[in-house]
Amino acid sequence: MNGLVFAGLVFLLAAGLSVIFGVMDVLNLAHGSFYMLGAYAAFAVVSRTGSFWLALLLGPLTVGLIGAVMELVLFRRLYQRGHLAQVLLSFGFTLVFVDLVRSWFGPRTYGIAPPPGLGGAFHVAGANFTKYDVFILGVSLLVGAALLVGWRLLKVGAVLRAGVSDKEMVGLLGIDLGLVFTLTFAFGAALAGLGGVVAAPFVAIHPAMDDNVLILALVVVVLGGLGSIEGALAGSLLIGLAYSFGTFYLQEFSIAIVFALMAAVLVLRPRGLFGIRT
Amino acid sequence: MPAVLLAVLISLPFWTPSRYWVSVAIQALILAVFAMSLDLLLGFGGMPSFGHAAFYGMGAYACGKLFPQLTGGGLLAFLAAGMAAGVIAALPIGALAVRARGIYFLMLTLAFAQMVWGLAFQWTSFTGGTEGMSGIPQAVPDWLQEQGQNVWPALRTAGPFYVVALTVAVLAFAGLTAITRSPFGRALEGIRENEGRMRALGYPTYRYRLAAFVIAAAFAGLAGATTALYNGYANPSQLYWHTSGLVLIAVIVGGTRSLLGAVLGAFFVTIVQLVISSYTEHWQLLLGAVFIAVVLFLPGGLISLGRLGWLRR
Amino acid sequence: MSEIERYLDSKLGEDVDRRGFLKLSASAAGLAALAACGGGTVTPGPSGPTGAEFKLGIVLPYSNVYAELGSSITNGIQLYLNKVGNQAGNRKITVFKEDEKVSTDDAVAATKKLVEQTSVDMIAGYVLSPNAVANRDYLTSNKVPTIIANAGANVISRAKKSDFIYRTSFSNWQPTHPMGSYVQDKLGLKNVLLVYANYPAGAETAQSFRETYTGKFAAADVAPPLGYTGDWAVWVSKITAANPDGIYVFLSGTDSVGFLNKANELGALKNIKVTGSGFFVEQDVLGSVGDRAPVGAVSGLHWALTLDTKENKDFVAAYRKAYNKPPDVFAMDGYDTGRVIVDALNAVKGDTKDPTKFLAAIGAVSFKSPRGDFKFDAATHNVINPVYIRELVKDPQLGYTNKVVATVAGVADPGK
Repeated sequence: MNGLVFAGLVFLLAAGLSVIFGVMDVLNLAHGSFYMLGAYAAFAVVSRTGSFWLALLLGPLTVGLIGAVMELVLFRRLYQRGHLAQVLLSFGFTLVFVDLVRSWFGPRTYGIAPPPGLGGAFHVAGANFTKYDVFILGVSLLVGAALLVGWRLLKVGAVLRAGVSDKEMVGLLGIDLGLVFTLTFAFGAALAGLGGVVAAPFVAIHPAMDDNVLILALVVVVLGGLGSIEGALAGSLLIGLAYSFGTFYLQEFSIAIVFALMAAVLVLRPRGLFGIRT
Repeated sequence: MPAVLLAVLISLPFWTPSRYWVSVAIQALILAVFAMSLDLLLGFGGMPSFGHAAFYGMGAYACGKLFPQLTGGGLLAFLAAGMAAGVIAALPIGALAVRARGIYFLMLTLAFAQMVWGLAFQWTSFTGGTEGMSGIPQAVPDWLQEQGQNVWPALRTAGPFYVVALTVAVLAFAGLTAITRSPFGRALEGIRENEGRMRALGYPTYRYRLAAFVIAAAFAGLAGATTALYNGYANPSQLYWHTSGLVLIAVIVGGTRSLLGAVLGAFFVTIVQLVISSYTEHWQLLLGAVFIAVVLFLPGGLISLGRLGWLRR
Repeated sequence: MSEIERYLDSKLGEDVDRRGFLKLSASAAGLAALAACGGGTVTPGPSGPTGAEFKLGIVLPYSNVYAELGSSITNGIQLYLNKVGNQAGNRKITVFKEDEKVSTDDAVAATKKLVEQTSVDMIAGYVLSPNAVANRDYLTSNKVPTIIANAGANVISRAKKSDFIYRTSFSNWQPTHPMGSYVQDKLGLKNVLLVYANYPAGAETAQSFRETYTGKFAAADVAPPLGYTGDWAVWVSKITAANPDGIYVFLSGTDSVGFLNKANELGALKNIKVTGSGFFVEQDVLGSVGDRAPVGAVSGLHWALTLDTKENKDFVAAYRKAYNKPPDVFAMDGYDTGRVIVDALNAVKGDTKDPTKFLAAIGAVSFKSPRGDFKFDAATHNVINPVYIRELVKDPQLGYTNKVVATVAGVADPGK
């Protein structure tokens, strides 16, 4: 259970990264910053209005908007220049965001309580988990299901999947790829923002919280296979469990185990667990 | 241009306003060696590593772990140990990693480096955990120490070690230049451009890529050993992905496929970071803005500025 | 206090903070402004100090995860310097700050800059033990008088003690050593579980506890990695499974917030006596966990916000006035650091040319601090001070805070 909840959080992050990565072939190191912005948005809204549910709405919207602007103004210019330019650009943004957050909120650590009704715990058959854990799990399953369905059934999914495999083809079909990319980037950012809001009552909110999760999300996406929602789900599960139970049973080697797992999958299945074979 | 840069660096201790700039130059020179080693992989070999800190850190930890045994051997023993540590770590990692390409190579190298970091961070009994290992001697040869103190009394220990760092950097530059210009280097660039054709021509491309990986790791280990000697410690932060990111950024900012670009990038990143962070609390904001500006306005990196200047003349 | 009030509170504090920083970084030009805002009355002139400027270098984290500690310590130092008009021993004191950031390389670069470029007369700071230890040889060989204002590694008072380094904060051994016997004899706990972040400071704390607690341990130590970002329920359930009658905790900052929040949600600490090294329930953490604070927790530390002495009340009032928020133990350590520097400068009449004499003056400083009797141990260069056993309560005025229930006077690190 404990590993599952963490896996759910990681999935929210990884899903957005995977969509951006898969559709647009953009390596966005600022994805962890989107998560951090979401968590701070949650804190700001909750501390002013007291409503977590409003935060759940506003947080992803704000972060999605920031993502849209970043894509329109900056990332757009770099698609021809490959991953290295994106690494540098998005790394620049991680620095900018962390500084802005520290300027606005100060260096201290914040925490917010779960919304009314979701505080407290269940004790079932010797297992302990909080009501909020169940909420996190519910949100991530819902998002996962919606993404899977959208990806498979809707036209959007078809366009995006085509985007993954053949960009020129989509362009020829008369679809505005520029708009698709902007929306994709905004959507991925919003998902990370959602992850941040959902995580806010679960973690300590502080200006360096983007750091660890970014690497975990990258691990998950690559493990699962770029642009694959099933992959992101499977990868999150694997990493969530490994990270939780690894630290539990293998104290001194827990971090190493997570990354060894990632390396092993990549060596055995270079395109990830659910990646498309080429 | 390399000659001008070298002249500036050699004369630095004689005109610098304070010994601080010699310390800065030492840090920049170490990062330069590290960045050049990554550029062999990234620029010439087309292998974007996001885990190059593994070998840098291994070089430092080798000095930290073995310094009681190495002290008798002097400076060369330490530097050789750093390079050897890089090679030993790179053989198994490289054997697995160079099969992957592009973004997958990037992620695989990240995974291996974070694995090494995880061990250093958590395996306290063997690595010292978060506190790492300290007390590593500078191992500057006695004659240099004495001469150095006479020539630059105001520089104290920075002077003699500057000679060490500069020598290491010059030799690394010369060595890597020779490698990139050798038939091996040309084959490596051929593989980067069109691996299929090179294979058809009979080149064992896997072995070439692996060799490049191991050579790059050796030089990264050399840089790591130099920093361990200079600062006196080995520490998990030297292995963390931030360090891999920093050197990657130095290479991109400087301009890939040019060793000189890597050197320029290393100096730029070192100086900008130090200067900005002491003038404002918001150094991260400014540094981020500088990186964003370089991406947008200098697609070829700093080295392209130099090329423009050359053309105009 | 509600979430909103706390938020506004801290916002205001940060504003003051930021302004303070900007003025400081403008160094000389900013000094007059700063003195003015701090209420001091130094206008360099006929009545001002006539000696050379005394350059105080500060290396503390102003960015990344430890920025809050850096800001508190700086506020504390500045508060004391302002109190004495930013001068001592007929010398004007100017502060030069460098960001310790988080990695050791950055802390080393910051130190070198202060020593080699700014030519500071002394350095104070260092939040992180690895950074203090890594700079130790450099500071010693360059003969820079140094005060460590937070980093707790025991080794700094032991094998790596330096003639040039004093510590005003604590060794990891100190706050915990009196707690082991207190937990056993006074609280009557017989089956304790140790919970600490798995890094050297955590291990040193556990070791210190074991020196005076001779009872049984409920299970193997619960030791999550430092800066844990996963699900704390994993660790909390380990405590539940071990079913101890008490736990002894050494966690700080974000780790403590994550742990306390989850443990509270799960109701895991209801029937367990919670004890620990005071950092896990210090004011910074209490501000973040709100109503999820473990009321009744008993912890050892060299200070408490509620200490009922004149020195402490004056300090807390002045700090609130200057920064619009209550101080924490880090701010108090900073305040005493400022005092040590000023007293030592006065003792040598501003003559710091001979570092040995100046260091001897530092070592001889003793006074009534907000924490109680403060003096240095000549053998270890570490502070000797009381350790307070505190109980976490909800105070009608102060909110969640620690109230002193017992005092152990003159706790000194054994030095080996």
